[in-house]
Parts: sequence; structure tokens; C-alpha cells
Amino acid sequence: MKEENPASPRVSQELSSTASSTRPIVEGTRAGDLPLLRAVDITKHYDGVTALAGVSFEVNTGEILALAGENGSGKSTLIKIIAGVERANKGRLFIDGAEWTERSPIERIEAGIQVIYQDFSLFPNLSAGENIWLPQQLHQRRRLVARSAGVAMGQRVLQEIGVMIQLHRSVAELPVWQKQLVAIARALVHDARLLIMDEPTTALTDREVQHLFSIIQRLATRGKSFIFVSHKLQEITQICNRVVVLRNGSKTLDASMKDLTNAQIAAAMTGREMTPGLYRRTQPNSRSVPLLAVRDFSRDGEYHDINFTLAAGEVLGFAGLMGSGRTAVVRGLFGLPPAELGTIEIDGKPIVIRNVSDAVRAGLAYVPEDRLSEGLFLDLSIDDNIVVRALERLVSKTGWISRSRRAKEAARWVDRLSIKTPSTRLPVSSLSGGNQQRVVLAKWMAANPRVLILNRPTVGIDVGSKPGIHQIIAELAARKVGVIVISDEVPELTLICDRVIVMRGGAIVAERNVSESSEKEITQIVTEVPDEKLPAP
Amino acid sequence: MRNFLRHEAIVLVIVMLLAITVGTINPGFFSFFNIFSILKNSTISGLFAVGFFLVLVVGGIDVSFTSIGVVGMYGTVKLALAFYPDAPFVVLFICAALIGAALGLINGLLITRLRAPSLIVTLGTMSLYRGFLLYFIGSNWIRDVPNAMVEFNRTNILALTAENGAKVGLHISVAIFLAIVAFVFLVLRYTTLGRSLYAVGGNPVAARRMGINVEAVQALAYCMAGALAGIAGFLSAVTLRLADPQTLTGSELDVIAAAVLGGAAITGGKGSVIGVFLGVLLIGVMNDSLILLGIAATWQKVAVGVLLLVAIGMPLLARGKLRASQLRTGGDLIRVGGASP
Repeated sequence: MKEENPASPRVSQELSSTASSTRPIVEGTRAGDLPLLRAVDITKHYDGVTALAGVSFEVNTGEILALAGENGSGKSTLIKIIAGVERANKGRLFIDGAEWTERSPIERIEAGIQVIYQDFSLFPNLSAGENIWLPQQLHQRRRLVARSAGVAMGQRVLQEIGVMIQLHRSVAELPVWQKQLVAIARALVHDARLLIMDEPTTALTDREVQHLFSIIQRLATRGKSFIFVSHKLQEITQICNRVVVLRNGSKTLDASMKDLTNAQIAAAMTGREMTPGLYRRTQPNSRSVPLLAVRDFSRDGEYHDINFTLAAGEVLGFAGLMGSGRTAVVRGLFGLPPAELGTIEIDGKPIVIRNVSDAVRAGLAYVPEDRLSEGLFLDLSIDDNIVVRALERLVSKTGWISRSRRAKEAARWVDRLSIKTPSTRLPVSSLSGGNQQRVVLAKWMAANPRVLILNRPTVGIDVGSKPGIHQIIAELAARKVGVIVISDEVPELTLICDRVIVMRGGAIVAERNVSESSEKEITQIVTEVPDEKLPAP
Repeated sequence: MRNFLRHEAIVLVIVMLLAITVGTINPGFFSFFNIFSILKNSTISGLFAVGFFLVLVVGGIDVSFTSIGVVGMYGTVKLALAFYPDAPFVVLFICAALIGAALGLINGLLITRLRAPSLIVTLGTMSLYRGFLLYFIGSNWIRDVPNAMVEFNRTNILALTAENGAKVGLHISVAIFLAIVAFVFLVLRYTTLGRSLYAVGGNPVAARRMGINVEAVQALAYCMAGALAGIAGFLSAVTLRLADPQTLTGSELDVIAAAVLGGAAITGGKGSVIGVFLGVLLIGVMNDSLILLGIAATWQKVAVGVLLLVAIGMPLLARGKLRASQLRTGGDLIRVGGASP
């Protein structure tokens, strides 16, 4: 097992020995060594579509098992069947060697199988403490609540995890990573033995992910088992002992992590060998007048003295840690909020950007990282979302929006970005995360921007779809659009960018041409100052 | 939990400030007679508000309460006169509560079975219940109400003699109201059922995942709201010694305002009975002071409307501030050392 606890003041390294007076969280590996969970030949059809085709696997006590696969590979269906929320058409499920196929979801929770859903399933209006103890007291069929006993139990479990959360605070006030810990604590109070974590890292920053991993590892050493559902190779290889990969409802890989390379896992997920695609284009036109020039850009407390240029057809990367100011700078370009000092020139002419409308008029487009809250109208159709920035081009002579033109425009983008949907009339909320991200991209691309700014464009997208997004970026650049990409992944930047700017502490610390530098050098610059603080709540 | 207490403390302070201001201008405000009458006048809308609040907690809304109250009241009187004119008060009281509970249950079942928006359903049943009453049960005033109601109306739990020798009494309906407030408070705070109401209002999906029967809990809330509305309607007839099938319409605003002022949120899962009680008291004190200060009765509606907007606006403003401060950090919500120059 890897021991990669990040230096963190919040995780007390020694296990609390005081807890020995009370019941320990887990009894440790039992003698018989039956697998904790065994699934045999699980098959599930939905309306004739096969979601799972005879999947078998085991989870052992104290094991961290990765369940990997692209969107739509059957991961979620498998979780639901294990949790008992859905019934399999065929196949059996064993817990500790005993048949559990027919048991209800509640009985499975009582047997120690707990799903930590992506949305954490918490009650935002209740206190953190009550979120932890209320479900358990409901299961005990208590009529009266035992508040102080519940709070004490919550505190004990948090102590065993090694974190402090103010239990009287309402969950709505807690930062995301603490909400997740509340969900984990709730499961532990329930005597969970197997925690199934559905994409647990999507809403977390890198630092918070490391913190979560140290907690998972700590619990695993004490005999808790985990199914870690993810499509992020890097995280799987870091935390998991064994990996099960699903593709199109079938198991394509089930092996111990130490025998595997990343390429093998990726191949099992996508069904093809992943060769790092090269998106070299003809060198961008280095005219004397750049498409976009930013000079002496500053905003108090956010960034200062930012200077850079962007040529038409160039892909410029922004690297840096969370909080280095890279997001603030590009948002500043977009007037969210504008910079306090400095000038912006487009084609050598100075322009003023005070708000989003100014930026859009100047030909800028910004695709935010948080596509759900900033980028989409979730309840509107895919059609409407794609064309919302291009409406003026779709107005017919009579002044009405032409339905057929709208549908044609949307269909073009759905096709070009391979958005998987039965109909473009469906609401965007019906799409998977990766496809939603494509809709955001389509929306901005349909507006024919001159400068496209992408903030972490491949976050939450599975491995197989990333090359698709990269390809789109390359195509845009080939059409003389200037593209700015922010990414946490230096390999991604060196793959698609011509030039990379590294930011730290609100300033630009380096600028490298990708052809003259290396991934290693840039990574080194990014991480030069090790930052040991955990995010303060 | 702290939030709720904070909110309640604010409402309490406002009530006290208002009382002190009015009391300074017109010392008659602090007479037992006036205080008792504020409490008595708040009883009916207070009972409605507690019921309305229970539905808000589970994330629904029930605007049919006045109709339920009238049907419960008028139906009880009709039934008693037809079958059991000498019925003791308790029987009449329970009968009204049961009629109300039955109508509330219909609301609850319609909403949970049809998965229909509660506002639309209860707007429909509001009209339906009252129309049904007027057409099938009767539309005339009944002045000759059962004797037990008349007797009960004369009962005071506390009789005092004022300085001028007049007798003032605290009406027994106030005691009923306070008892119900206490009961609902205990249920909501100290039973798992009460906490389930909050859980369902806060996140119904999560509640279902952990084995709470969400539909049953919701239906129960409507049912309890109906019972409270039936009791409120019945007590209104007791205080008037008159069963009027057209009564109570138009009193909805005071009730909704009281619940919202007390910290309940239309989105569900928020607020407490204590807050609602204080909200009722605030509306009661305000209406009373406008009369004491000789301000035209029409201003009451304006005042209630303004209070309601302020109560709804304050949290929104606070949230807006929060959102703005998040935007200022430029998307990277968590900042790690050295970001400032």
C-alpha cells in the first residue's frame, strides 16, 4: 500500500488510541477469508439495451478496488445493483459468502454496504451532526431522538477518520470536501464495511483529493473496503490496489494494480491503444500585430502585471496551481470582474471590457470550468443551449428565429462534437457530464469567437473523449481562432499548446514555447514552491 | 440549528421593540386586557400558521387551509345539530379536527400520488372544498350553534380584575393554541418523525435513499395541517358563536406572512414552530398597535405586505452578498498562500 499522506495539519497522523475504550470501527480481517462482496454474472437490460453483460468480481476486506470505465460503460448500473436500488435480470450477489441477491436496499445498508453518491445525499438544512446520526437512529426505529448520544457518536467517528468538523454547523455552510467527509462519517456510523464512492473527486481540488486519499488509505488499513468509481487514471493508479474495468457492460480488465501500466488500463477502458495524439499544426502566423495583447493587467489581491500576447491560430496554455491567479486573469479578460489596471488590444486596437457583453462583442468566448452553474441552461433543450450565442445569425428575413436553421445549426455541432443523444430536443440535464461539456463548447463555438478561452476543458471527461476535445481545439486553431487553455495537467498542455505560461501567486513566472521545452521542465516550474497548506474552510 | 435561533432572536427583538414603541405612545398597550386580546386574536391565524408551516417544512405549500377550516367548522356544527345537539365540547373539537385531517389527507394523497405541484393542487382543492360546502352542505349562517360551543366561549383560564374594576380574562382558546404549539415543537424537535419532516424537506432524494417513506411523510404533513385548520375553523365559530360558511376568506395573507416571518422557507426544511409563533405574535402586535395608534385599518394590509417582503428579502440580500464575495475570488474559491501581491 502506498503511503502518500500529504503534509496536512488537519489529518492527525497517529490513530486515536483513546477510541479503544469504545467499539473499534472494524474488527479486521476475519479468519475464513471469504470475499466481503462477490458478484457473479450480473446482467441487466433496460428496454432491450444491455447495460451489463455477465459481470463478475469480488471485493476483499481492506481492499481499495477501482471500478473504472467511460461514461455509459455500466459503472452506475453496477453500483445500483450492489446497493439494491435496481434489480439485476440475472446473476447473484454474495456478502460474506451468503446470498444477498434478493435483499432490500435497507438490509444491504444494515449489512455494511454503503454508497457515497456523487451528490453526497446530505440534508443541507440540517446540521452536520444530525446528518450523521439521524439516519442511524431512523434505522434503529427510535421514536425519540437521542441528540447528545448522536453528536458524541459523530465526534468519535470523525476522530477516527482524523478530521475536525464543527458538527453544529449546517451542512449548507460547509465546503465541498467537508460535506464529503460528513457523508463518509455517516456511513461509518452505520457500521459500513464496504464504501462505494461514486466519482468522489469530481468536485474537489487536487489538494482536497490528496486529503481524501489519505483518509481512504487510513480506513483501508483498518479493514474497510472501498469501491472507488472513477475514470481518472491518475487517481486510480495512486489509490487503488486492484482495478476492474468495464466497457459497454462487460468486464475488460480485472487485475492487481502493481501488474498494470496506465496504457493497459486506458486501453481496457477505451478498447483502443491510446497513442498520445499529436496536434501539431502549421506554426501560427507570427505577424507583428497579435490577435490579442494584454498589457500590465492587474487586479488588487488577484493578479498583477500580467503581459502576454496571443496570435491568431495559436493555442496558449496557462499552467499553475489552484489559486495562482490563472482563472482570475482569464475571467478578468471576460469582465468577471474586469481588471483594475492594464489594457487589452485586439488586432492592435485598444478595447475596453467592463462586462460580459463587452467581451462577447469583442469576439471573446469563455467556457467556464463549472459547466453546470456557469455554462448551461440545464432545463432547456440541447438545441437551445447550442444556439443561444448565435441567435442573430439564425434570424430569418421576417425577423423570426428560423426553426429549421436553428435545428440545422445545432445538428451540425452535435455531429461535429459527437454529442451522444437520441434527440437534440431533450434537455441538457439528460446528458452525461462529458457530453454536457461538449454542449458548452458547441455553444461558444457556434458564436464564431475570435478568441476562445477554455477553463479546464477536459475536467470530468473520460479518457476516451479527451482526444476528441483536443482535436476540436486543434481544428479551431487551424481556423485562425486564438485559443487560451487553462489546465491542471501539464501533459495536456504540452500536447495541445504552442506556448505555455506558468503563473504563481498572481504573477507570470515563466513562459515557454512547447517545442523548446519539456513537460518535465514546465511541471517543475509549476510546483517549484511546495505549498503545504490545506484549503482553509 | 444556530441559524434558526438567530432568526428567531431577530423576530423576538422586533416584536419587543414594536411593543415598547407602541407602549410608550399609548400605555394602554401594556394592559392585561390588550395583551389578552392580542393573544386571543392571534389564536385562529396562529393555528393555521402552524399547519401551514408543517407543510412548508416538507417542501410543499398548502393554500387550502381556510377552506378546510370552514368545512371542518360548518360540517361539525351541521352534524352536531342533526345527530347530537348536546354533544360535549371535546367531541365537537375532535370531529372538526378529523374532518380537517381527512381533507388534508386528500390534499396529501393527490400531491404525492399525482406528483403534482402542491400549489396547483391546493388552489384547486381550496375552491373545491368551499364550493362543495356551499352547494351540498349549506350556505346559510347558523346562529343557533350547539350549546357546548356557547358555554366554552365563556370560559377563561385566567380571570383578573383591572384597575378600573373591569374583569379581563385570558380566553381558553389561547391555552389550546399554546398547547398545540408546544406539542408540535416537541414532535418536530425530539422525535425521529419530526426530524424526518425536515429531512424530506431538505433533500427528498437522500431521504428516500436512507429508507424514509417520503410520500407517507409528506401526506402526513398535509394531514396534520388539515387537522389544525379544522380546529382553527371550529374555534373561530366558537368565538363568534356563529357558523358562517363564508368566513375566513382573505385571512390567508396574515397566516402566510406569519410563517415566512418566522423563518420558514418556501423551498422546505427550514424554520421552527417557535419562529412561527413569534411571527404570529408580530403580526398580532402590529395589527393591534395600528388600531391603538389610530391608523386606518386599510394600512394593516400595507404593513403586513411590507413585513412579508422584508422577511423574504433579508435572506436573499444576505445570499446575494455571499455570492458576490465568492465571485470576487475569481472562480478559484479556495485560495492558497501568496495570491496577493
